Amino acid sequence: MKFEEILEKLEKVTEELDNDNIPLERAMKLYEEGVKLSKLADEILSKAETRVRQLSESEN
Amino acid sequence: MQPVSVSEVAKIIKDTIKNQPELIDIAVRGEVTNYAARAHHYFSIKDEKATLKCVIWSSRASKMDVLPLENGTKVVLMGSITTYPMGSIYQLDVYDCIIEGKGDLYKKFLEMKEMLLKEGLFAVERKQTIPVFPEWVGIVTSEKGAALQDMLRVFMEGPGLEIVVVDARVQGEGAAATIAQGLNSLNGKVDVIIIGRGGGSIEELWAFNEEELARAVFACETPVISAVGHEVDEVISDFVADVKVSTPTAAAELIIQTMEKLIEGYGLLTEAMHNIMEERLNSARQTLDLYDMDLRRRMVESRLGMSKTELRRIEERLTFHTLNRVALIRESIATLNTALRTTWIAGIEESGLAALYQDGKRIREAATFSKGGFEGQLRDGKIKGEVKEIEV
Repeated sequence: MKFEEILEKLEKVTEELDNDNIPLERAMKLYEEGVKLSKLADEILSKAETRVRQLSESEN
Repeated sequence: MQPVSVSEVAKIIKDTIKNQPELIDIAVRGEVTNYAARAHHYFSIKDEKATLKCVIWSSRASKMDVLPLENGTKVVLMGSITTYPMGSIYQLDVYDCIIEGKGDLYKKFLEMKEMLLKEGLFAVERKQTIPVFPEWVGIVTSEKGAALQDMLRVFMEGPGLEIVVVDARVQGEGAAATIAQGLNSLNGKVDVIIIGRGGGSIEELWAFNEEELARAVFACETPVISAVGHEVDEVISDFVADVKVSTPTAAAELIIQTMEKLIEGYGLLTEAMHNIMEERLNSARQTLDLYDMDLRRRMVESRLGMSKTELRRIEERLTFHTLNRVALIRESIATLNTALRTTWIAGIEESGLAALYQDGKRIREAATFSKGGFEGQLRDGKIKGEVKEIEV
């Protein structure tokens, strides 16, 4: 999943979670999902180190 | 160190420039760019490495034979450098002008722009959005150019990216073709492509005005950022590309800043999520505590109930036995009763709740209330009231 997709999903999760009317069980589920998403995002951010490569003539 | 005011600094600069003979009554050669006709004539002249702001006051313009009104025109301008402290600007105050070249290329540029505009290559609805968090960034530029180093310097300080550089000739014969090839080789393989080079004369930037490159940019399925020249330069690829920025550095900054904004947003979002859940759990815990209290009370009550049955049984069985044994059991019931009261009152004390009674019976639900009088047991005493309405 791409970072912006994760962020979009996380936004939805948080928005629903913010609704006091949802049952606790649902809130727990959402939170679990949110934590999973944020782990994915952290993974993307942590492995990220800028690398530069040249596209060689043959690949060209 | 004694601080001086901004005005004082401006005055020092103004005086320095005013007293510098090399800046008074000089002739400057360059190419007209960024021309804007207002009450006075404002424009710049440039060469490969620098731009100089120019002004022709309308009072002077009316006395001049020719005016450098057309972008791309090669001119020699006569004037003096003056300063404009309000805008932190220095400029050439022009009083005469010699036109050296009529700017054929500029004419060609305008024709090309007109043609491709009519064909719809600049259409806004055809523009693609630049991904906000790209993983792969393609760059088509000269490997040896300063533009590449400028971009990489910015990228290296940002969040992690995979950058693919395709070397291309950015000026001279066949340059447009090599840039177009570079675009094609990256098309579909990266999330966004930057094409660009540093500033220069209209001849040097010409590759970015050629039809072949314009069509390649238009056909490219991956979003393209055109980053050519410095601030004032304008080329056809700027109009065709999905996004135009004024310098190669600005292209890298645009990508990095968007990513950083997103990362910041992500941080705020996760923080909000954790906070909401914590609040939610806290309130659940409170509700649970109330239930727990209720449960404990019921347990005491049921133990009391058992004791009552036991008592009855014992009473039946031990009719012949001494009364003081019965009294002992009664006493234990009384103790249990007190214990129950203490637990309950402790509960009331903790939560500020009240126990409500109707006709001597404890009522726990609105549905079991009937209209009329009721009694309430609170921590510090009793109340009496009347049930007027019941909503369930």
